[in-house]
Amino acid sequence: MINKRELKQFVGVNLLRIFIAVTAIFLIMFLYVIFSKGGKMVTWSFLTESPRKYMTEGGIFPALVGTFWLTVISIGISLPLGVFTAIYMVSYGKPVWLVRSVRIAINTLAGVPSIIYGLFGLTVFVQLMKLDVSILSGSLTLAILALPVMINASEEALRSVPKDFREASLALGATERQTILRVLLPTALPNILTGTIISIGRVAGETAPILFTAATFYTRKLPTSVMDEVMALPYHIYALMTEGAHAQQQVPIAYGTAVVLLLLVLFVSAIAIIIRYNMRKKRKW
Amino acid sequence: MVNVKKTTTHIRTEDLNLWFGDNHVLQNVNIPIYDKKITALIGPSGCGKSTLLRCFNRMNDLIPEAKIKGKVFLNEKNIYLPRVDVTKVRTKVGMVFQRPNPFPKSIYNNIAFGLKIRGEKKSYIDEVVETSLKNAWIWDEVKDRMNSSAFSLSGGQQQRLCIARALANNPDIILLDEPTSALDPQSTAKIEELCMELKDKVTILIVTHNIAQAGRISDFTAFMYLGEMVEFDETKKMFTVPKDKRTEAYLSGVFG
Repeated sequence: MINKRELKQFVGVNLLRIFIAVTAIFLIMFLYVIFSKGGKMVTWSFLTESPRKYMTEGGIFPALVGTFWLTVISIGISLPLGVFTAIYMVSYGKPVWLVRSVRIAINTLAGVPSIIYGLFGLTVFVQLMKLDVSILSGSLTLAILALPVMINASEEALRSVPKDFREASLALGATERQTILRVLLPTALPNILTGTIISIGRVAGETAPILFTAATFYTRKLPTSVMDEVMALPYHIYALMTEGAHAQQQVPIAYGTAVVLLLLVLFVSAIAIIIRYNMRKKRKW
Repeated sequence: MVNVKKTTTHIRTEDLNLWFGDNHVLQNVNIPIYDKKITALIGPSGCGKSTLLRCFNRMNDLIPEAKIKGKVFLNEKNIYLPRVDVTKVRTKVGMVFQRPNPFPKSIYNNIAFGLKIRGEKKSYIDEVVETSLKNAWIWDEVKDRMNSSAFSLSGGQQQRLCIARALANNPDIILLDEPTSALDPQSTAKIEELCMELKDKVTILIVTHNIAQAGRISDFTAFMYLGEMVEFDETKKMFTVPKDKRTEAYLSGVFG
């Protein structure tokens, strides 16, 4: 005999099971579609060769290199900027109006559609600062895009460091600066890394911000400086799907590129997760 | 108050007042802390004993709404004068907290922390780390695993590690803020014994909720009530013939 409570429990649990199944189905379908359409395109030569014959043959090496540099440089800019901003907000937090307006700015930035970052980058970096369409312009634009996530993650990470550690350090005669550098930051590092992982994924995959600031439709030559324009994986997909006259040959390459982009993001995340795991194993509190 | 001829005062306060916002937490506190003795601060929760303790290494500076008036003399120098280097005060006056709070670092680096931030030499640090751990009675338990995380130690060991960490700065005084309230009876007993051993080297000021503990280990006891220093005396005297009615009531467990 099933009583009412058991029935409720039964229905509840199974409802949750259905929801999680739906989520899982979407994820599996997503991976299946991308990999089935693009998986067989990914060969060694696909990764290491330049596109040929109006992008109907050849590989995506220039786009891979472009995305690599855009990601590395933009993270290189936004990580220190984000961490130092967060340190200031957590450790000093004065004047209140400054911190409050920074926080409002961050939260507003976080909600801005990425195409608007592209327009901003075009106006400020490309035109005003005369950096032209280049890796630098694109990286700066992407860095601003990544900044809200970076600051919020770092702030969260710093705030989650137990107050005891700070007190212990100060009580031993450490200055505020020494406490931040030697206690607060090392303790918060694994969680700051989480923010960085999320940002890397986001930055590597964004198309709109680099549309007008860094990306070019087609170039055989690899970038030699940060002032060069580059091909990039997400923009390459967009270009293959919307431009050119050989849709038949271009579409599989686009899916192949999508697979590479996906694997790249997964690969970077995996590295960061491993680093974080090892750090967390060492530090427990 | 008390006539102790042979010892000198290490810290003393002069009409110390402290407010948290509008809350008058310490009211005209005058207390001498004698050199190389154990002084216990007792009193019911919220009487201001921990706050008083934190005046001696200026940890109340961390609380923005705290306002302090009066003087605290450390070796006859007022530590609340504007040009005093707070970090120097805190090296001279070590502190051990209620909950063991080792850093998420190795055992070695926990002890070396205070020395490293002052840029001491490696050989000197090694030496001090060993003597500090020995003085805190934890050397034998950790000497083979100096590079393991401090969090691999038990609560009682962690607290002794924190004592060793404070000792590594070679302080004149150690402030203990209810150091055994988070520990089991055995670890507590060990820390009490350790305190009695250490008082030949440093002055100890201990805040405790545990009246029996104050009776067991301290030479002097200060009883605080509602932000006031009600009574200060040799522990033996206070525990046998308290002068104030409130002290008597507290010691006999009427309130607490």
